[in-house]
Amino acid sequence: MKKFSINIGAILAVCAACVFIMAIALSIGASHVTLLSLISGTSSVATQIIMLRLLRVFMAFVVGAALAVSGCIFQALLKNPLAEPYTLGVSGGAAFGASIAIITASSAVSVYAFLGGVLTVIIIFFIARTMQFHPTAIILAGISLGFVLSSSVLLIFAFAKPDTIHKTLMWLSGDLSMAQYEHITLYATSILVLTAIALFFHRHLDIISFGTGFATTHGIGTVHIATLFWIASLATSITVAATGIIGFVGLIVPHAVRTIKANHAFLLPVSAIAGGTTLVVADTIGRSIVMPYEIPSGIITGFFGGIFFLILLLTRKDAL
Amino acid sequence: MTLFECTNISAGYNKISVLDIVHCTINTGDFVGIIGPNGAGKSTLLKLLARILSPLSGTIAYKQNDITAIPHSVYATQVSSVMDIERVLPYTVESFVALGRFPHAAITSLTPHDYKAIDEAIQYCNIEHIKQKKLTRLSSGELQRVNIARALAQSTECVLLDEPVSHLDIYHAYAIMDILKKLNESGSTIITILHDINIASEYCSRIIGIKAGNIFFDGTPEECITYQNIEALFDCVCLVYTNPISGKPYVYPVPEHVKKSRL
Repeated sequence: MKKFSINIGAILAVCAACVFIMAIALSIGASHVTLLSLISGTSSVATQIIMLRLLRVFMAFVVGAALAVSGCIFQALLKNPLAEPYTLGVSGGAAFGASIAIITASSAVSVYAFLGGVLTVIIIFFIARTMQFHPTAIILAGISLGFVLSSSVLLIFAFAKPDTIHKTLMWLSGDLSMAQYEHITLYATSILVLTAIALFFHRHLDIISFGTGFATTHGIGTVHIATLFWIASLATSITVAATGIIGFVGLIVPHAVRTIKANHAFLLPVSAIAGGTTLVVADTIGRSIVMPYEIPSGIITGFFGGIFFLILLLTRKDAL
Repeated sequence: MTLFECTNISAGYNKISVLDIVHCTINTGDFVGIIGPNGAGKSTLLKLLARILSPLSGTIAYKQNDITAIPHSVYATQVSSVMDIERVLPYTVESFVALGRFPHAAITSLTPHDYKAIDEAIQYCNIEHIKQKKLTRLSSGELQRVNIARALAQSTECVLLDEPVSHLDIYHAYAIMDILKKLNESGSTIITILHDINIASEYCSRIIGIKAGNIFFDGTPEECITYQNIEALFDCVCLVYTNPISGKPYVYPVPEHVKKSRL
């Protein structure tokens, strides 16, 4: 029998497409500086603009990749096609944390958001452990807690000044122009490490995605499930700290990639690349269609992602 | 040799017991068919042996060791299970069967030895022609054979099966039972829940009848499959004859309307 190839060809093709898209993303923006002008001329302004865009494109890629990987893991752990990085209420917790930070005029919005997300996950983790990681119980607990937190956010809004509400709303819709670029190395390294650990567990994820009983009879205990739970939750919390809440990438990218091949040795890396690229595209669209204004990428991913996924659903319904 | 020994087991869900077994042993090489009405506790017993469920009280020993003392990862190299797949995902047949090697190579990549086991399991279950097909495209008979091949790739001494031939036509049901028979003859212990008493009678060396959470009878098909036992087990009226070819007992249930018209 031939070895199961991880389909190097497909991965290379995705990488090439991704580099091409990045180059386009770097060439688009409010000022007319393209990659070509960088190569031909030696204007320092052009270099600076490109460097700024590079930072932003890189951030979008890292966050998109993290969300897609986290989505893959949650879809395997929770055995639910609707599972995504925010199912456990990380977004609600982060929104709550961020709202408090913005209202109290604290500069550490991302720290508050991260803490909000992580605290939510800690609560859900203890509930999940009492329920022996029963998928439906975890989802329901996450959704319930999410409701409590989003109601709390609305309660804060009721007493807040309109301009702070606007600022919070932009943050909640995933605005990359407000991202925390000074800590980009920290975000990128932690995401890379978490993705690498997830990839290490790719065969565990294959087994777990077939069911809890299936996992038990193949020798997977709750320790592995808890580890994967934390990898995905931390990755999500980090993205939230970096850029706010960006919906849909973590839901649709793993689904779209799974229509090609479901094995996690393929699904995880390809989803990471595809998720990163998706967010780069969404952000590029967001900052270029109504220049000089910017549309938060969370809105773009939700809008175009939703349409794309409906088309995929209708054309490849058997593959899901 | 004793493979499993259950002592004073009480098991159930949400702390309510649905199964009580005072004592039951299963020996190496047994081909056990568990029969009984729906809700009697058959699946609960199988889940206990698969360690998907822990007993509320009592002990289960596997080769004289308390099973709670055996790590799940080690147990998975000894006992495999074929139960309904919760979610059918678009894996190819070949990569799904390969999941059976997981307990032997959880982190390391698969060795030639693993690939040999996968190939053999695929050949054993006659699914070579569909090995590149996706699970989502298989018929229920094919899916069941693939699921059994996966358990065989696990290379365990004992295989537990929960209703492997329900929903299947006679041809596919017998094809699967033939695979299990062949496996049993090569030394594996098979414990399977069956709804078809006649299939259980033809294939199993031992029949355990479970009613309302208790072992109702336990023995060879010839000892157990009598009209008195079956009528009491299922609260029905039936006739039991001997299959002239195999010499095994077979059961004819008598429908209510026939019973009325004949009395």
